[in-house]
Amino acid sequence: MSHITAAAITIVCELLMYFIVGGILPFAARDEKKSFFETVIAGWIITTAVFGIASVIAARFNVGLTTFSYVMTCVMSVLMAASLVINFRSIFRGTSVASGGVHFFFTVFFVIAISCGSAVLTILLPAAPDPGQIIAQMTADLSSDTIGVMIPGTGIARTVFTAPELLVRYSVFDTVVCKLNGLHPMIQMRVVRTAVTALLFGMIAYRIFMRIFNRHVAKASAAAFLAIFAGIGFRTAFTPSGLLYSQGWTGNSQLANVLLPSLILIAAALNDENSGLRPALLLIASGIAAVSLTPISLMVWPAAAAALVIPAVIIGKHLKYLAALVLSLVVPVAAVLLYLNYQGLPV
Amino acid sequence: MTGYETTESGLSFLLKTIAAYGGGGVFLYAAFVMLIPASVFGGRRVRAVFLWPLLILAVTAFNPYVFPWLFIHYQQLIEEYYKFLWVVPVLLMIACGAVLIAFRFKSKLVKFLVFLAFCALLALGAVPGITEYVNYSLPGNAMKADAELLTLCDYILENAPTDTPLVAFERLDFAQEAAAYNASIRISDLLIPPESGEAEITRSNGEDFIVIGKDSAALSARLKELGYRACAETPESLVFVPRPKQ
Repeated sequence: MSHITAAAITIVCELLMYFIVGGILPFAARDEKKSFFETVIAGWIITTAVFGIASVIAARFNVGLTTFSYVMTCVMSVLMAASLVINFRSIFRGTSVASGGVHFFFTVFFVIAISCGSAVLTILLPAAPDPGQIIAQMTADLSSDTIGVMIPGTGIARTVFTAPELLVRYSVFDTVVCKLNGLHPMIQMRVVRTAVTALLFGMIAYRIFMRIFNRHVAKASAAAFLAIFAGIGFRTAFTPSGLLYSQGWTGNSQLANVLLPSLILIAAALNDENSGLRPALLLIASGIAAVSLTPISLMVWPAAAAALVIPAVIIGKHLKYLAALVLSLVVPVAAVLLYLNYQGLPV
Repeated sequence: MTGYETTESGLSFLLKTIAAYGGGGVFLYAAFVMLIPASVFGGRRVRAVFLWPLLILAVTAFNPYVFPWLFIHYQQLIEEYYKFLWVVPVLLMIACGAVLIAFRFKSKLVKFLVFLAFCALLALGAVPGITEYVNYSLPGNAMKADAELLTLCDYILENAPTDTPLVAFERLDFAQEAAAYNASIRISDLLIPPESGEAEITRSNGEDFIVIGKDSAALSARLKELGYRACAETPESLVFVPRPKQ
């Protein structure tokens, strides 16, 4: 099987896994059409949060990569099984990918447009030196059957984890995927992770517009297409396409293109009537996920979360969302305290 | 943003940050312009996710009178401040405003033409970014690696029996830099660099290449005893490979 075929299968499997895991959170009103895209997004947030917690525990007890991979396979299997048992009927009967002809057309178009954009720009851009460090660490982990212990390219083991090395562990998920399916980290990150990040951005954009345009499919489709189209030329931090295609696998890109826009989606859901517990629970999970992406999350995510949730609290008079916001800040604040007082965790 | 002067105006710093880290700021300013029709035509839901949060950020994170105080007390924030720009949903605001303008028209044809016009504007705005990275080329030897190492790595990659050759280096600095130069090169711990003298040989892991210094005569002889043969040399190094099994 060629690497690209294996990568394409991995992309599909990851999205399916996110969909099943995302279904574990309770849906709102019984009659609400469950969104495939929002379920996938929820699954990404939950998976990132679960792996973030698990990899810190693994660092504390010096767990090897193979053992960690098997344990996390079991954990994710249990999560997916629980989700299927709890939500089987609502996931598969009530979930809508398309509610009409136009909707389906644009759904397919988005997937093709994002995939092509991702492929073209990944091929055009020769390299991004900084994120190569992540791939080097993944390669070292796979070679040594450890997680974050070996310093890439040296054969030397770390004697102590620094705070970022302990907490910023988003790439551990991809390392586990490489361990299980044999893909090289370069392919897993530059193809699979970049494509999934780009697809998630498209899904989030579409769902945000579906909510704020009151489920007007044509408006939402057109707006999501414009957002994706504009993203190809948008530059930030000297990098083209807003980090999305050029560094799509990095924690910074996943923060800027997935987690922060998903906060907007959560806020849009909070502003909807009868949104139930789901957006609040996702808010809390995204706070945990933010810690594992990049240290910058600790500065940016709380500012974005507060700015987005406070209007929902004030305008909708939903004080319970204030409680959700405070709960979601617990883990990021704990991480900040850890950064400030960290003495170093021995390996 | 190095060189930030605490006496400098916060607004000036903010504009410089946008110019330096926002691709000149074209898309960012376009997003703020599009916020106007979005807020006017979009209704409560659009204002709740775009307008009010930005106003909150304007008096906090983007407040030119607040962050200079932060920078005085937390110097390292200066270098990372531009990442607050990621909170602004630039692409979503542009798309939202554009679509709301287009859908103000009743005729489907006019809607479509306005939509195409916005696509054309966005494409024009994308030209500098697209041109920059199409013409982007990595500077030669960006890592300032030793020329000797580059020659060795090129030879190894051209002659490797697998996509990820396992290589043992006598020189620790070569081991450290080789995998960083190309992630396909896996580093073996076959040779333990000593405090002085030549490296010691540990147990073999099936290395594809072993690279030692030309002046390591004892090590060279030992490798030949173990069944390795010299296959290439550079000005300072010898490259050994296992003899083919008969």
